[in-house]
Amino acid sequence: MPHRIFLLTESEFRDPLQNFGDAEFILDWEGAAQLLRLWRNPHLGRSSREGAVLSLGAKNAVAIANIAQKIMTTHLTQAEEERLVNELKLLRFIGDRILPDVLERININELQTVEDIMKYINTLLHDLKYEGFADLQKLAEKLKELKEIVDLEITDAFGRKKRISREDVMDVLGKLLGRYLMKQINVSPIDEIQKRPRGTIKLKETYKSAILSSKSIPPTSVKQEDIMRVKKDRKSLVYLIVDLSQSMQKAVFEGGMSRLDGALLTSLSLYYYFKMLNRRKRKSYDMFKLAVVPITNNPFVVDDDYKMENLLLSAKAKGKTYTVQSVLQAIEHAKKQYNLKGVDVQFTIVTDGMPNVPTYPFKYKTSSDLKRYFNEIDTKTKPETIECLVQLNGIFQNLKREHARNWNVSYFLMGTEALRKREIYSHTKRMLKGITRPILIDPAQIKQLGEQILRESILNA
Amino acid sequence: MLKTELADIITVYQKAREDFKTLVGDTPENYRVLLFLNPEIHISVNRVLESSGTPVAILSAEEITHLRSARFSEFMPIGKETTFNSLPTLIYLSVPNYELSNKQKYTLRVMLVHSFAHAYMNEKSSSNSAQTLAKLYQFDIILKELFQNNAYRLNDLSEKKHMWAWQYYQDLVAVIRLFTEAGIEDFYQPPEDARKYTLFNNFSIEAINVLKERANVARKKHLHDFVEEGFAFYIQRKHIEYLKESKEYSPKEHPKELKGYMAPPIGVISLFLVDKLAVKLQDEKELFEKLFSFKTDLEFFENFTWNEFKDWLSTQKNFHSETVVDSWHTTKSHYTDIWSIYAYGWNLIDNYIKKTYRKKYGTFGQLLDDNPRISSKGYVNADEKKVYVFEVNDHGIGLDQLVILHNHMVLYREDFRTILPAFADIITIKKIGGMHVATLFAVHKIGKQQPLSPYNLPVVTRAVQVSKRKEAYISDLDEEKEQIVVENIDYTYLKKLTQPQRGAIAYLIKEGLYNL
Repeated sequence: MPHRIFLLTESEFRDPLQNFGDAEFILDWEGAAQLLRLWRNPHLGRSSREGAVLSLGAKNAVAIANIAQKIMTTHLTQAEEERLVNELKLLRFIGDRILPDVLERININELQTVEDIMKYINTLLHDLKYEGFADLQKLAEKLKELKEIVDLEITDAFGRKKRISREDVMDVLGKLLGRYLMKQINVSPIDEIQKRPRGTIKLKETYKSAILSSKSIPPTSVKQEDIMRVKKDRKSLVYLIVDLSQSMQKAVFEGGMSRLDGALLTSLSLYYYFKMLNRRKRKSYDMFKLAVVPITNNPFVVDDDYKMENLLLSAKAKGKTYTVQSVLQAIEHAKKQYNLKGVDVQFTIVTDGMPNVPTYPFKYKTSSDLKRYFNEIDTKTKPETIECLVQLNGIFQNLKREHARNWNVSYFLMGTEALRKREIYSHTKRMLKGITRPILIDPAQIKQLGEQILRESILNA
Repeated sequence: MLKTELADIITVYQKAREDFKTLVGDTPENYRVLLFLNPEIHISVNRVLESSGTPVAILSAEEITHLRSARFSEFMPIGKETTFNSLPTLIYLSVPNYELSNKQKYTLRVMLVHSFAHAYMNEKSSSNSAQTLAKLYQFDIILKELFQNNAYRLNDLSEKKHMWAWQYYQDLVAVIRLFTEAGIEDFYQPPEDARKYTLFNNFSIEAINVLKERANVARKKHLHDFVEEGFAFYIQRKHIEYLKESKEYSPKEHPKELKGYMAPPIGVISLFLVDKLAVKLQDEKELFEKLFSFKTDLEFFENFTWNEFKDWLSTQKNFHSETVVDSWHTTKSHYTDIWSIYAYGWNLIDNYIKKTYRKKYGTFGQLLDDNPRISSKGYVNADEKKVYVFEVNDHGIGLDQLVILHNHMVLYREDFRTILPAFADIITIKKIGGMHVATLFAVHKIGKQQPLSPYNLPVVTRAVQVSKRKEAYISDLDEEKEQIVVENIDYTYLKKLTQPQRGAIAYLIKEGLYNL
């Protein structure tokens, strides 16, 4: 037989243990809402927990089979051999004794949170101590894997599954949504002047300057100092004032997603949008700062990760609409931030109704015009609501007159086109006269809310 | 250039061939040796071979994930002998270095001669084993090409990018391979004329046809492992004695790297059986002729009586237990733990011999039918909807693959128009370690929106521990509802299930299908 030698590279002979699927994970809005719901409610997701136990079991079984073969066929050092024997014992113990028990507990709806699991592990270890199980320390380490059970399972648009731990949910979700928003809003038309959140760029001037600095046509690169801006970078405070009143419980589409889910996801996506935007630049201060102010009984300003997480986990759609109080809270917060001139403050209010709890004492000047308007018309609107609208108008007018900062207001009203003919729209429009105009958003289009808010309030402001 | 780099290895290879020539009087001519410079790939090939029968078979995504995680924890066997006994025989070896020490040369020489013995047996044997494996190898290559080209093309053609296709096709092949091998053909196959409508149909039809053919071939493969191993170990022992006599390299003990070639129980017992056979014959030539003439292990075993077997198995097991831990393991304190692994191997051998000898099994298909990887247990009628029940053994499928199974159940054969076939709901019962699990997999009605991928379905999955405990199946449903439900469920089409299994099925149907 003639003997020949061929050389094969790894591209010709691939590692057979390869996953063929693509790694990019695309979570759609409904998926995000589902994830949020699972995160907020530990009672949901039993089948996912069951699946996780099966998966752990299968992984265990594969590991056991391989270790057994390795011990029989591979030369091992003493330390390695002892490690493997110990691993094998632990894995067998977990597979044969612990996992069946865990599965049964999950079936009867125990072990829903990390605390449940830790408690379970501790009692288990305690019992085993008296049984005389040798390697409790190692077993305890291995058992920590059980925490994976309460990880949340998400499925992307193409059906690929991924599990994320509870602590990471906000980050994963926020980044996904924020990045999604960035893709949406960065697609601005290219012409002479390009508007960007950080300022407006003069393209022609930039191009010329790039040619000069790189000394070639077309320029080899555009450096940071070549970029010619129309305006200087600005400092903006953005306040997203979100309605969390009872009416937000309404479902918006078939999927069972509520207005509240939509509002929370939008808040999160905007929060991460700015967080990521700021991280991109090496600046001593953040150009944009976004804070979320929920419209609740005792409004508070959410301006860091911890508060955000708390808001997402605990927000409930209930009670009346305390818009006036929330706006005042936001103003107070904004005034504490910078003492410089020329700071932009953007209030973005998202609500699905009219405010109905006025505040006293009220120190701003109210408009007699508006009062007269409400007196003259025949309306079913309650007097406290009218009082609120007058107060809000007073606050906004006052802000417009103040020159220390540039105050901007945009006002989003959740509802279908039919709302235009209703009192709520005309009243709101009258209240905002001379300040801004109300923008109607269809709740079914809640996915685009973040994008719309950015367009209306940041780019075109 | 290669020749200079591989000079050491080539010398050893040629010496090994000479050795074989002196030992047997002939050399094998139809084989390929693959030397891996990257041992990782060698391990992967070994694992794929182990779990699917050929080194190029497509594994399901879940299997791959678990194997990768085992690799990550360094649980993979590195020294295991990897020979694919087809024609040509494929011999996979890892090479530690280009330049070999004396000990490494010796090790490689012994390994090569062992593998040549396999190759020689494959050429000379009158069994169909080697040819069958060669055919399976071809089938698997075809499937791999089919899968990759179709997934690529589907992605290429569609604007939406059917990214799911990669994993779906992969799982489809892996799962249906199991099904066809186990003789269950109750899954969906699009009609032949659906081929022209979508690429997906075309792929399904093609893949399922090839898989069916593969299964038919695989089931007819002769059981031939003991004859092959017996011969290879016989030659190996002869070779080691020969090397000792020639004094080229005289080790005090065997190099530890030969563990995979010398320690496993199958070598011990098959070598012993060949020795016993040799006693009955005149000379070695006759012995070889006899070994080559065996078509199956059964023919080999039938030279001995069952009483002899029983005796030998226990004495050899004892003998092995006395020596193996001392000679091949470094730890002295874990004797029981290590021996228990070998003892498990002996149990498997015991079972295999018992089965083939007692029940006269000659082919792979017969052995499979004895303990099928997947078996159908009938179905439950729930609200005129059929829920199929399967039992899966250790080597069966995982949870993620259920979706494939699900999509291909025979239900409305005529209705197949879209990319997604019609659905049947299924319950599978499977043992994983100490868990005995019943899993329900059901699909809701699909709404207005067309699913983006076969994975993107509104599914219900539930898994319960099959248990005798009564409190395990407390239903969350209230009494009133339950009564309505019970009227609509018909369990008469279920077969051969234990009472706890039935309990679990009833609970799953109640909980899963109605309590949504």
